[in-house]
Amino acid sequence: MPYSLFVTVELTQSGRGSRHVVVGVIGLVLFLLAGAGGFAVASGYRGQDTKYCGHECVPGLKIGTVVEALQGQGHTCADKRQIWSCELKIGKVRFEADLFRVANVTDFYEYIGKVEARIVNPDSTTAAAGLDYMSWFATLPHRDDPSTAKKVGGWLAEQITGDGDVTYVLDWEYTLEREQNTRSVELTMKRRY
Amino acid sequence: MAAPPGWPYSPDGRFWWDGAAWQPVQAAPPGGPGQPGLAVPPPPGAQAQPGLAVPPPPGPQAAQPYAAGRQAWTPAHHPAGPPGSGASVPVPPGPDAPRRRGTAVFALVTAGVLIAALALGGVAGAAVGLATTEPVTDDRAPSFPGRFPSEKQRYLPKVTVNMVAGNWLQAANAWRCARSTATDPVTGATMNTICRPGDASRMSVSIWHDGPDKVLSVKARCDLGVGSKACTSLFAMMADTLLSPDPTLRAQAESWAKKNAVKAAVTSVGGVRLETAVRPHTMEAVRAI
Repeated sequence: MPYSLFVTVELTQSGRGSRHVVVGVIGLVLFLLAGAGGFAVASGYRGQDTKYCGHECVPGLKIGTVVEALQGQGHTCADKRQIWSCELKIGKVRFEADLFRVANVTDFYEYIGKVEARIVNPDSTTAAAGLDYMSWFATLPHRDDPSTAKKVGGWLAEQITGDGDVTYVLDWEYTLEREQNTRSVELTMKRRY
Repeated sequence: MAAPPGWPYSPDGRFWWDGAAWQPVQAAPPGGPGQPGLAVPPPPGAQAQPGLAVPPPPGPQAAQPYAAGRQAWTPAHHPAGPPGSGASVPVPPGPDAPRRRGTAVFALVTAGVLIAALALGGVAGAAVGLATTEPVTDDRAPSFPGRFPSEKQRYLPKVTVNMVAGNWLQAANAWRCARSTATDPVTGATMNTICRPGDASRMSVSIWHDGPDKVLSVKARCDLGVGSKACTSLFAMMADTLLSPDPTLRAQAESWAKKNAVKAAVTSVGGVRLETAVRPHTMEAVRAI
C-alpha cells in the first residue's frame, strides 16, 4: 500500500526532525545559560581586578573617598603626605584613624595600603561606638563580601573588650592591641605578604 | 537455502517466509552467477527501503513486512514469527539492531552538541564579560553603622550656652561671664565662656563650646572645701541645669551630684557624662558615648 508507506516515511522523518529541534533548543538554552554564567564570573573577576595597586590596597576604594566620608561624619582630617589622619573627639574619647597610602606603586597617592584606628580614653560606655568605628575600617576590603565582613566583625567584637589578638582574613592581617599607658585600643590592618 | 522467487524476506534479509514459518537464508556460493560478491541475498524490498521513495515490490507478501513497519510482524499478518524472538509469536530479529545503533549515534551526537553548547557559551560569556567590564577603581565608601561616632554626638544634648551662663549663673545668681576664643585640647572646642560669682573668685564654671547651642563641656570648680554646702549646691545645681530639658533625668542627676560631690565618681545620665573629682574639687559634664 504505497499510501501507508508514504505516511510512515513522513512520520518517521517528522519524528527525527522533532528530536533535532528539541536538541537544538536545549543546546541553545545551555549556550545562553553558560554564557550568562561565564559573563557573571568574568565580570566579577574583572571588577575585583586590583592590578592598579599591585594587590596591596583596599580594592576599588580611593583614599580620598574614605577621607570625604569621614569628614561627612564630622571627623577632622589632615593630609600628611604618606598618611591621611582623621580624628573626632567626643567628650574625653578620641577616635583617631591613620590611612596609609600604598607606598611602592606609582599611583600610591590614590589607595589605602594600611589602616591604624585608635580609640583613646575609651569609657565603659564606649564599647558599642568603638566596635562600629573599628568595624567600618576593618571591613573596607571586604565590603562586597558580607560573610567575610561578618567574620571580621565577630573577631573584633570578641577582642575589643579583651587584651588583643592577631588574625588573618583573606590576605589581610588584623592586630588589636590595648595600650594601658595611653589608655587606648588600636586596630592595625594591612596586607599580609 | 534461498527463498523461491516471490516469498518475502525479513528486513535484514536473514530469513524468508515460506508461508508457514520463517526459514533462514543460506549463503550462496561465492562467485555464483547472477549475484557475485553477495553472501546473503537482499530481501525483495531492500532496494526500495533505503531511499524510502520507491514503492515496495508488488504482492502482499513482499509489502507486508515493510509497509507497516513493526506492525507488519504481528500475528495477524504472520501467526508464526521468525526465529529468535523468544515469544510464542516470534518477530523478526533484524529491525532492532540498526535502530539501536542509530539511537546510540543520536545520543552521542546529542551529548556532543550539548557539551559544545556549554563550552562555547561559557567561553563567549566570559569573553564578553572581560571585554565589557572595567575594574572598579573608584567605588563609593560603604555606609556607616548606626553607632559610628559622628559630629552630632560631640555636643551635650539640648544644652545651650545661654541655658548655663545666662539663665542659671547670670540671671539667677548674678555671676559674671567672659567669652574668649581658645581651643580646648581635650574636647577640641573652639570657644570658652567662663563665669564667676561677683563677690568671690573661689568658684567658677567654664563652658567650652563651638556655638550657642553646641556645648562640648561644662566644668565647675569650687575651692571652698570638699563637703562645703556651697560646693555641693554648685554641683547639684549644675547637674540640674544640664538635664533640665528632661524633668525625670534632672532630678536623678541632681541627686547623684549631691551624693557624690565629696568623692571621685563617674556616671552617665541622658547622654551626659558627669565626673566628680576632689583635687581639685570639680565636677565636669561632657557628652557620653
